[in-house]
Amino acid sequence: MRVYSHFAVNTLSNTYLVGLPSGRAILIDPATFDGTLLELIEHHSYRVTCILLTHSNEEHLAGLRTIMRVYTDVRICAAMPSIMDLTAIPVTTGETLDICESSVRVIGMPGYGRDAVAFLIGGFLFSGPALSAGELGAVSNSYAKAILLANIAESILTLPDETVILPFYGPPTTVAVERRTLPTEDPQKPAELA
Amino acid sequence: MFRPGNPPSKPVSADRLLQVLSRFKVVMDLNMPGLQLDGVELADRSFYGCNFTQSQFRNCTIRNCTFELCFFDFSSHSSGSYSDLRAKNCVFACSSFDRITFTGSDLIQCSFNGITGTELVIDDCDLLHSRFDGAPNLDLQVINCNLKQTRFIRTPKDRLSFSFANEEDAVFVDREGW
Repeated sequence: MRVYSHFAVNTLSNTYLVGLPSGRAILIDPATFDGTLLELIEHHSYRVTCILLTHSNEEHLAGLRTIMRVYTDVRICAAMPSIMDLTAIPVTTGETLDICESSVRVIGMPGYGRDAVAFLIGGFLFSGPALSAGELGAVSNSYAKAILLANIAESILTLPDETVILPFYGPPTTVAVERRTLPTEDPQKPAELA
Repeated sequence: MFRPGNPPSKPVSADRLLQVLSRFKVVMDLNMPGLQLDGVELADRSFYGCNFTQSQFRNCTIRNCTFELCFFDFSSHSSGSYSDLRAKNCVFACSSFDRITFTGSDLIQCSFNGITGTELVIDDCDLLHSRFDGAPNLDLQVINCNLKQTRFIRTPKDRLSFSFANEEDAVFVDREGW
């Protein structure tokens, strides 16, 4: 299994390509689909057969329609059953999917949004926008932030130290680093959740 | 890319690394946590998806090298000169830098979160979208650098020095007030 990242300068976001020994590949969060990403896929002769979406903000999925036109027989897996009028296979928290001979564990990101999940594939956690290096994703209120933080503490910071976190925004990180650097004290945290 | 949790590429030693570098200009998936390099010069090589977490780099010169998706977290760097690097999506988080100079390098979307630094100088570098968050013990001199979307959140500004850099394009305060 090989993991490649593609940084889209226009959105300052990351798309990831997981290439498998069989030649099949999984794309994660295609925020854009440009020549660089196409070259990355084609240079390695990968056949994209699955797209995993960590969230369903349409502004973050501008490349999705193009990819679906370029590659046929691609299935989309997301927390929502439909995204941009495209049918997705709904995934649920705690589920383990068998995708392209890979085991993919779904981790919910409650607090960030009901459509937000992270995917754990062989020591790599694709966290989406809910968690990036040293930062929680933007949420609407302090309750949501407390819930998201509690979930991350329970579901992600308990993963092995060496687990690599690959977020939608910003540089990669690891669980060991986030245990040290992620701010866990919210000055606006409601007392009843403290 | 190296597989997290897999055993390291043994033996983890400077000799082994230099042996690999004598044969290959491009190195992929090398997993050498805890590497100790002293007085080594690395030049004209590319590293993709390599792991050098918890490593020590003393008196090292690294020049004209490419690093992509490489991990140097919890490492220690002292008395070194790093120049003409092309680093993208690399992790230097929680590392210490003592008398280190980066010059003429692209350090694009790299994580320097939680680092400590004394006499750390970054000169003539592109720091686009890199992060220096949560580093209360960082003495850093930034000269003639691109700081577009470079973040210094929860890092005391009074210990940072900027000259000839677009400081106004950097981010110092979390939008949500963390």
